[in-house]
Amino acid sequence: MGTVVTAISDEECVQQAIAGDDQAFRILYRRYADKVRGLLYQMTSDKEALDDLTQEVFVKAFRGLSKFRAESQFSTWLFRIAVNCCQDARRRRARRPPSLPLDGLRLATSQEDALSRLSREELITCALETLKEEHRLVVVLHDLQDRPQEEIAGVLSVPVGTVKSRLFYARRQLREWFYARGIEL
Amino acid sequence: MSDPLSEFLRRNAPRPPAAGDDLEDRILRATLAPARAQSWWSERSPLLVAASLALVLLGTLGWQQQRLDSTLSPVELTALGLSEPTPFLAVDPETDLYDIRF
Repeated sequence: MGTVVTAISDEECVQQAIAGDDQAFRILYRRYADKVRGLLYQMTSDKEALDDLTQEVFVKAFRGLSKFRAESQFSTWLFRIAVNCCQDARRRRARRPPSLPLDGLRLATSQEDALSRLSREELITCALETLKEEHRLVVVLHDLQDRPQEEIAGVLSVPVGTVKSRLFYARRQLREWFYARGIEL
Repeated sequence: MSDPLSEFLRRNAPRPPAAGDDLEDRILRATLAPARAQSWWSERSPLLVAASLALVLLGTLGWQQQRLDSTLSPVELTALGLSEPTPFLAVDPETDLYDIRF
């Protein structure tokens, strides 16, 4: 990912990619690969399937570029595809046991620092697993991916008020989950 | 002031493992291959259709010619013992039953 991504706009890249320019595809991929992978990973917690899922998202997006109407930002459109792929993947995975079962958590005892035995990332992964999918999505997009609420509303095709409400309930549940494990936030 | 929970989540967001070395090329290949195949086909499809039609036409004409050349006279048929009417099967479209005709 060390390649310089030029200052060309997303819309120009899209037009060039539609015309068959390989380099334009590469620029779009390099510009968004990390963000998309972050979202996919935080939504699915599945390391093994991550590359395949990333491929699924970008191939769907690139093949459907001609349908991108520029009514929204390219990033919003791409994130919407990523969210749909996450939902498909979670449905496919529903038949399998979770990759990180909560029963397997090495929870801290009262004598120990709660965060000393578990890595923070692992802890957050476990906490996210407890949320309903629609709540997890807004937390991941807003708090982990740092997307503005208006964009999240566009990605999920819901009003901004719904995003705020889901965020409120998701955070409350997360606080309770952390509190039950000796972590006050 | 930022919410402590949001801050904690943002600072410690689970980071995905690095992508496989060939992922970018895999995606590009998967994206471009079908499009180029389709483009190749669409550019050549009128030519291929014309060639296919010409082949079918020539084949039919050749087959007709061969049939005419190989037609035997009734005398020859009798000599070969082929003058017997040949039974064949047909399906009645109304009843779907087989019908043997002579």
